[in-house]
Amino acid sequence: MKYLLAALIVAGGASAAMAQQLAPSPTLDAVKARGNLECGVHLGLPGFSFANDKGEWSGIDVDYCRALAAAVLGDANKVKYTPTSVQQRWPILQSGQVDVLSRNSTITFSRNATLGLNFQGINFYEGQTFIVRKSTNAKTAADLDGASVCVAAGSTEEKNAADWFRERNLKVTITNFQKNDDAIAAYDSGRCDAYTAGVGALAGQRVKLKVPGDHIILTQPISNDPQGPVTRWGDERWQLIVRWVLNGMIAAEALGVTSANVDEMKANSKNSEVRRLLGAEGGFGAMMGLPDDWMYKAIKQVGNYGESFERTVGMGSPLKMERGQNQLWTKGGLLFTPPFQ
Amino acid sequence: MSPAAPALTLWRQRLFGSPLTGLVTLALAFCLAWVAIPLIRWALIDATWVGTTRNDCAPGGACWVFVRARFGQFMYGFYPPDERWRVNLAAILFVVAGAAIAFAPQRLRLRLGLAALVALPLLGIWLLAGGLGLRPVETREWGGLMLTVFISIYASLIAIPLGIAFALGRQSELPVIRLISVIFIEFWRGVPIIAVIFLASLLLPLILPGGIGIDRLARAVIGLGFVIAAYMAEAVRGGLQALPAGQREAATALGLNYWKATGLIVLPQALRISLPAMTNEFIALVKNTTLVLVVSILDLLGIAQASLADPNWVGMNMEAYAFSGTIYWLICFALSRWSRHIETSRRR
Amino acid sequence: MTRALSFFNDKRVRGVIYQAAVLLGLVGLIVYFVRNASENMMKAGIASGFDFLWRTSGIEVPFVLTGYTQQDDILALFWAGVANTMLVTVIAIVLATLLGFVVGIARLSSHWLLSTLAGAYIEFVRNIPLLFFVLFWYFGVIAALPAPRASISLFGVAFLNNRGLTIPLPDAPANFRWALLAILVSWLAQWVVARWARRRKERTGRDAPVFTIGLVLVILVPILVVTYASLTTRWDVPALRGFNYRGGFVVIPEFVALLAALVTYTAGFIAEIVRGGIQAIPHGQTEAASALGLRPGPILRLVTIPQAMRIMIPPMTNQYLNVLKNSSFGAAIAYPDVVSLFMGSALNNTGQAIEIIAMTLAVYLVIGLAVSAFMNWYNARIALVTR
Repeated sequence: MKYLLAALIVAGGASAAMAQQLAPSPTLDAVKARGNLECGVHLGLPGFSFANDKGEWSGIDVDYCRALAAAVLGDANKVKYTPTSVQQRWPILQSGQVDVLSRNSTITFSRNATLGLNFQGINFYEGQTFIVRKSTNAKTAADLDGASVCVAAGSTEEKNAADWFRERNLKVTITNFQKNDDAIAAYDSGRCDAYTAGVGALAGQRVKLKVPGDHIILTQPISNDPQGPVTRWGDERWQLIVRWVLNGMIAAEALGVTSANVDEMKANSKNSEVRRLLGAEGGFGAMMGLPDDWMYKAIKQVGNYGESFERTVGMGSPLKMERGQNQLWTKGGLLFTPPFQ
Repeated sequence: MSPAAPALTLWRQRLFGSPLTGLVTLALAFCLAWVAIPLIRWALIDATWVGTTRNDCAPGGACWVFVRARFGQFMYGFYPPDERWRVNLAAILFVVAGAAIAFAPQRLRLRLGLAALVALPLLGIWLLAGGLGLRPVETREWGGLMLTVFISIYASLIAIPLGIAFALGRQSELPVIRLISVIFIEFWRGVPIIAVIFLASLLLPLILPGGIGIDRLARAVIGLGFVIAAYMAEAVRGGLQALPAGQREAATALGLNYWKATGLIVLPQALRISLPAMTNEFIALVKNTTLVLVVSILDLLGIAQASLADPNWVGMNMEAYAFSGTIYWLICFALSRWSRHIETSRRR
Repeated sequence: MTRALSFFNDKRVRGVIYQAAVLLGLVGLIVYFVRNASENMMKAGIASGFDFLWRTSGIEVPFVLTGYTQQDDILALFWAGVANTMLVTVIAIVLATLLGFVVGIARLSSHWLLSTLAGAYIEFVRNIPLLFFVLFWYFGVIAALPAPRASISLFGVAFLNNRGLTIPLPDAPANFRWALLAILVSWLAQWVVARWARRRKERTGRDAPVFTIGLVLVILVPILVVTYASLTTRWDVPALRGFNYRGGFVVIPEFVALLAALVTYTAGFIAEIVRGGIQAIPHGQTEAASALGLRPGPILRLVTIPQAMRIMIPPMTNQYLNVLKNSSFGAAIAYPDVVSLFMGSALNNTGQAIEIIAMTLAVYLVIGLAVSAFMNWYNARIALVTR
């Protein structure tokens, strides 16, 4: 009887919450009306966002967009990708041409404070390092004293590298290109001794070199560059959705929910966090104005964070990256998600 | 004496007439051989034409297999292959309409031209973008040569009327109109196109009321259209200035007002004079479409560059650039020949 | 009633009304756009204003003329970009004019092969987008030059490799400032002497040894002072240490490639202008000159070109302005011009698009106006004085 009463109160509270007016979300309304999600991605970075010759996109950043589309629209394929250069990415997001930017962009204070942008969590812990020719015998960044370094202009890497070498009184010449592809082409043709970018980005771009085996990626990073999906200021409900879809993917991995067992887990799991995540109880989707099976759809169609990682940049991909920092905090990494409660 | 002999003598005279002439000939021939022989060897003799993958290509020569594999993309970008007939149809329509106007009897030509000017661009957009019964194809899927041609044509559709208006404005007797026209023309002529395209893509969404989105491609076309309008205005002004003042004076004396005198007497003649100059501006426009790649719109050069990032076809830079460069050259060369042709045929 | 109608039928009155309407519409449109922009920016939380110019830039620039360093503010970065734009523009204009004249005159040569090749060059260059030239020269130049370890040494003090041309730099430039001053003074002296000699010749018909004096003042004095300054200064001679040459000044390959692209491309257009200008000179002029016993060289120099110049100046001005605008293509190959540094790096670090684009456009408009003004002055100077 006591339990029944409690359940009634909870149910009553839940229906009251549902009846409660949701904060307006013009972005969500626009996405639903349009029938597809507009997602800003990188021009072409294998492992992160890359279109093959048929125009099909894949990568860990692309997977996030797909999960978001599955959560919001029920179909992971309802995404339209806008490839953006380093220069264009902020204006394209600011001017509302994309709903979310998922484009291995580093979270920084000044971007957050002055560009009218919010970063909604971390989907990749990147660390900046260098790719050099094996013949140079450089082992760490400090060995690069006197070198020429190619970099994409306007990236965090441009400033990081300049600062890092200056602090150590090492003299390097930094040449800033407008696009990553231009920078790496120049490095490949011998213009520079090193090309600098994040470890993950380098792993992806290495395959574009004429003889990938002649080059080596320095293992010791000179910075940490956490990256994740970005939204505009305003429209808090949309920000909430963007943030919690990412959290949901990480939580799914922590809770052992995969695209293979999601049906079974939804039906039989006794773990109430799993049940809330998958919409079997709690009505969490409705609180954001989504169907309750939002994360179920996302995980069913895209998979949890770990599956996405392995498929796009991990051992199941040509990049063959270790999980490293991008492992769950329980397993020695940095990935962490607040509870679904 | 054989019939070839006079020609031979003529050539000998031309190339080795005097010691100095002979020396210059030898030096030039040496330079020519130094450049041309390796180029021809690379592009034709040592090149690989058939195959499917990069491994089929012989080292040292051009790998045209790459261009064949990517040909569809170079022409249409990511336009869905099943729908490419629409692009072809649009192109054929434009060519047929152009020919019809050119060969139509004088009386019909103007009416036909105006009708085509209104109908064709709309028809073209409908065919390419879809809707109303056709499967919609978004502009982000457009690319390659079709995009180069599209941007060139639609930017000049903005540029020509605007250019004529500002050319007339610059010649106007009303000081405010003249000043506005001069500022417009000189501003757009004074700034680099790369900055204008960037400006258009950033600024257009900002200055319109929130919520109104303009297509990415449309923004680039508008930006280019404004710049070319300023150059077109100067081309038209040349024609206006070349026209004897008596023409307008006679028209006014006959009782025609400003608009009638301009539309019926002055403009038709001035435009005919400035047609070669306008064609040259159009050539410049075709060449400048390459700059849309700063806003990640993949025209012919853009798609060629993008194809270089394909890990399966690494190191195809020369092939991609040589192929796309040749296409640009053919288009621009044909146009410049045509412009020169009308110029000389008029002079006669 | 009729009076009112005739008032509106008055051409002048109608003119004023038209103009007022256009002006009103234009101002309204601008106000509308500005209001939308500020509203949109407020809503989006984008910072505005020019405060960012005094923030530390933190951006490394590989090719600096202004003494900019990474710790300077963004305004200094802007000026470094402007200086680089001006440098490549000025040098490209000079070289393109020279090459353009050579090709244009070769096009008119009576030598068949020479004129055909010049024609082929012109047709080739004019019908290909400039971006191809920039990419071709850039990747061509880098590919053709050796790696630093295998540098081409020029007399052991300057070194050419795929990182650029490294040249020695004086440690203490004071001597060179004096040398430069001395050179300017001696050139000025030559100008005065030449003027005086011409006046005297017009007046008295007597020749002065202007050529010998000129040789001394224009060539010998500069050589002497520069040699003296070089010998009395300590030089920072580049030396290979680690990856690259250290010390000295590096002329980066991006500069060379952009310059080569601008020169080869623009020369095609200038050649056509030169050809057109020369062909427009009536045949009688050259015939009269050769009847007077002038040889082909002097005819070209003294009779044809000075007259052709008058026809060539306006289209030439356009080409020079094109060089200025086209120098922005350097952004495609990382030449640190104002577009690349300011509209690229600085824009990304600050995100203040409107301010930055406005400043960049202003640079081109101001320099462009200055070039036009100079060319107009020159045009007026050489214009035919008709009575």
